Amino acid sequence: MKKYYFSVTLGMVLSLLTNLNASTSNYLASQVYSDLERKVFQVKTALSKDAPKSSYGTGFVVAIDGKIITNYHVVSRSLEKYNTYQIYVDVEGEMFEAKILEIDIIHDLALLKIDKKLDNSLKIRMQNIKIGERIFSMGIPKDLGLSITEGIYNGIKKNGLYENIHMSNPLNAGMSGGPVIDSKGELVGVNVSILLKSQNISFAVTSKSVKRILDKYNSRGKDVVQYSNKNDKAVDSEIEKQLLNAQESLTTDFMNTAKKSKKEGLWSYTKPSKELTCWQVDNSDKDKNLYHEKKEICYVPSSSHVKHDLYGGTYELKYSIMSTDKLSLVKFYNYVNSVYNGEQMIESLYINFFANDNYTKYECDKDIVFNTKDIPFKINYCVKAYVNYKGIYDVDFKAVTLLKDKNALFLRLTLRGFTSNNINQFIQTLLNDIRFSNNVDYKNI
Amino acid sequence: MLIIKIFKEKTSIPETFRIEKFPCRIGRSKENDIVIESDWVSVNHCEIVNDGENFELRDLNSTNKIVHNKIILDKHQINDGDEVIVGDVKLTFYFDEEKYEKTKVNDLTVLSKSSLIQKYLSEHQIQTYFLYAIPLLLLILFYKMIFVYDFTYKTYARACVFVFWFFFCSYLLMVLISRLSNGHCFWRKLYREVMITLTITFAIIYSVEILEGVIINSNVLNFLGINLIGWNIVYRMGVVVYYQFKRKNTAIFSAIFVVCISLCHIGLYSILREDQHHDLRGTIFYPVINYSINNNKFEKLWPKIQASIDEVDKKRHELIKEKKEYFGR
Repeated sequence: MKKYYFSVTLGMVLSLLTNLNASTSNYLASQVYSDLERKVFQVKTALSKDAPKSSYGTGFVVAIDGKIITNYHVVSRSLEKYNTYQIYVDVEGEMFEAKILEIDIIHDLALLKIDKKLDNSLKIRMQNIKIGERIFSMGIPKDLGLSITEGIYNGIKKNGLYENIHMSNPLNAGMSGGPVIDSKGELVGVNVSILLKSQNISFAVTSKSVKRILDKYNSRGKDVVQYSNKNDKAVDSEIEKQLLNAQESLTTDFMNTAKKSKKEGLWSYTKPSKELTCWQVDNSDKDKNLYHEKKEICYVPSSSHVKHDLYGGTYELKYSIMSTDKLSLVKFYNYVNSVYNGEQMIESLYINFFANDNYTKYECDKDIVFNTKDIPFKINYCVKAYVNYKGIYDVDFKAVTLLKDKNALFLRLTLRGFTSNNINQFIQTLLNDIRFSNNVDYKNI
Repeated sequence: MLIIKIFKEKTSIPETFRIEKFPCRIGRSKENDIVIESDWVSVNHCEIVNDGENFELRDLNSTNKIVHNKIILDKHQINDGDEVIVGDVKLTFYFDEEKYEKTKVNDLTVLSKSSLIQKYLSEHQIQTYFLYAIPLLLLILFYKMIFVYDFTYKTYARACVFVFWFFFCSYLLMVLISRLSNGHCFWRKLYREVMITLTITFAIIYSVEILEGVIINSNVLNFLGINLIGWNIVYRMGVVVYYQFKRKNTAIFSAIFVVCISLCHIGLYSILREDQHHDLRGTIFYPVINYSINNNKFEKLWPKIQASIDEVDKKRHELIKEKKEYFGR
């Protein structure tokens, strides 16, 4: 009874507060809106000027000579080979063809330029923002016209290795690429994504990244490159460079934490990096207590989007630790085998049998290998290469071991967009770090 | 007139033939006057000749000849009430109707004992089909019951359904085959060969799996050299050699089967090699494993992975070439 009373009063206070704030924020929002109305445009890709759009988003002015920032995924269509999509920016009803000056696939940003002098540009805020500060997102959601939504800044969230703003602004399709603004009308970030199946959890690229992409362009000086589907070599080499950077930073991060090991039951293995999102499940047999299984899945929460079905710079780790007291060795072996075989190496047959534009066919093999602690592993692996980018591969790797005293460990590694050198480092450290605490002489099994 | 009573099976009613036209041919093929469906009877086995007074049974160069009183004969002069064995079928000859009628009572008592299935299918067919089907069924069930970890009441129910369908389907198959085999054993032989191959394959798969479970980390697997094609071809060749001395047709048939089966296996194997990640059953399709603790460290694994990376790179170059040719860029 007491609790109920308390919650009611709290609710009343809260509703009062929001009402008060709403009245003040209305004033702010309308001010921000009128301030920015002419600095935010719709960006679309289409086959020609008057043709219907094939993708759309929002962009905003950063320099008065016609430089516009938007999301990379809004304009990535126009960079696809063998396609003739063009980028158009809608400035007060008039369509202007845009060129891409710079891309950043890791942070999902693109710098565009149109041949029109614009009145004024957005200021980039470099000062820190306090958590709880009111911020606004602008954009053209679902092609309905320029609109503004408000929310609260919830700090910087690490999405993998990269910083992203975590905010409560509601975002909709079409608003990506739009600016995130504080109450003074200064740029805080760029709308980029939302968390699905959640309430008002959305993400924005930080203003630091926007500054970085502008600096990068300015530092080029005279060596300006045109990124378009007609100049696909420049596009490919730039994307390749950025994919390589992404995997390199993931690998160094992995190697830094790899020195420590994690104990789980009688086993110990490489400690997953803090940047990974991890889940643990107990898959033991609950009815008859026939076997015990503990499963740990860790993955990088972000990935570098290149095309709608091509991405890189991410990896996933899966450990399964199995043991039994009741099952016989053969029965337990069958169970371990079913876990091992149940793990699909490739999403679908189709991808493997027919090479597509983005990847080659898979190349697979298997082997039996002993690690430095003489633990034997049965191993399966598959490799495929990216067609357009040199020296970047996807690897699916799984290993299983079953020791004499009915203890088994299953390891699964999925690497997306890594070089062969780093693949070597990953597999070697993961395999050699696996240890079993009972100092059994495996040579005699 | 000659009356012949043929006991095709011990338990079913004997068939009777009243012969007025001579010579009368007996054999397995449909062109004969009297057709006997049995593997032991040749296509044209023998004929009955009438030279005015006597009837004579002549062998037509058959495989199993004619047997009378445990003596193998080429020719036999028929007397009243004679019992002659052709292949594995007993023929009884009668000259007059009265003597024949007396023996009929015995046959009827035999008939009442025979079961429903035997009315539709001959004893031979049941033997040939179930002989190969039942071991296969038992093998599968035995393995599932004893060695698979989650054999609960649910899987037991599933097993019951499986058994029902197994028998139902094999019965249908039997009826179909008995209709198809017009005195020729081709279909029956095919069925038998398929069943034997299946049984042996399953036996190898399961035994390897059990062995793997018991001694997964041992060098014994090394010694076994698990290779399905190898085992199967060895078995097939054995069949060919065995029949070489007995029956020519069967030997040729089996030889063709060897070629077909090995081609199938090679096809299957090449597909499996193409996507080994499918990993049908552990390492069963994996050829001879050559490993020992000392030389199979990571240093040995990496060149293999590097090799497949190089292979993928090659594929990439080919793809780029193709695209350049196609799009002219």
